[in-house]
Amino acid sequence: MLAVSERHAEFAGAEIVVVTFTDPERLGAYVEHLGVQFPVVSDVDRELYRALGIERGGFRQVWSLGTLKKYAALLLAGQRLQRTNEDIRQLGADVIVSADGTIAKVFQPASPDARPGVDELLAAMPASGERRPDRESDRLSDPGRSAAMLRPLRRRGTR
Amino acid sequence: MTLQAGDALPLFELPGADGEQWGSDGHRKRNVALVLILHRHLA
Repeated sequence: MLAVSERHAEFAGAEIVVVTFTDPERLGAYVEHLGVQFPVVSDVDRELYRALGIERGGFRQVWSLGTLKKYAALLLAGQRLQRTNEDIRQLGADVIVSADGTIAKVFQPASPDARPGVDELLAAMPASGERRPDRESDRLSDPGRSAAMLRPLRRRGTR
Repeated sequence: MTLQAGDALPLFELPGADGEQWGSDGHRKRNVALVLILHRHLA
């Protein structure tokens, strides 16, 4: 996330938003902790996570070798690991959405440490106004499909 | 069904750190792409 923040300018004006599932009251502390300059929002019920199929990982996924290496690197860099009351099994994802609102790419890593690099994200960015699903089979075949996706998500003005 | 590439991102709002609601259609109004980073604890 820090790498994206440092190379923000390369995203050519795209809106970059961090979605957390932390309580909205704690978002301010989160922003400070993450040290990013883009908006941080709260999906406390994880409805967007569910809509995108981003699930909770199993024990081996969450505590993968890569995760342990990442924690070791953080400790070696002098960072203190802090206990959290939040769900450490919840996996993350990165989603690229075209300017017209079409999802262009969903990066869904198999373990918490396996996030795409900035170059991968940039390569998936559609040109302005371009719709670019990553697979031909992913193209929307049922116009009612996205409307159905609205149901599990929070509607405007309900919160 | 799960949202995937080729689907339209639904319209929804989520609360932000500043107390404002963030809308999923703001980028469309500005005609720019959107990158959503769904956080997990090992960030």
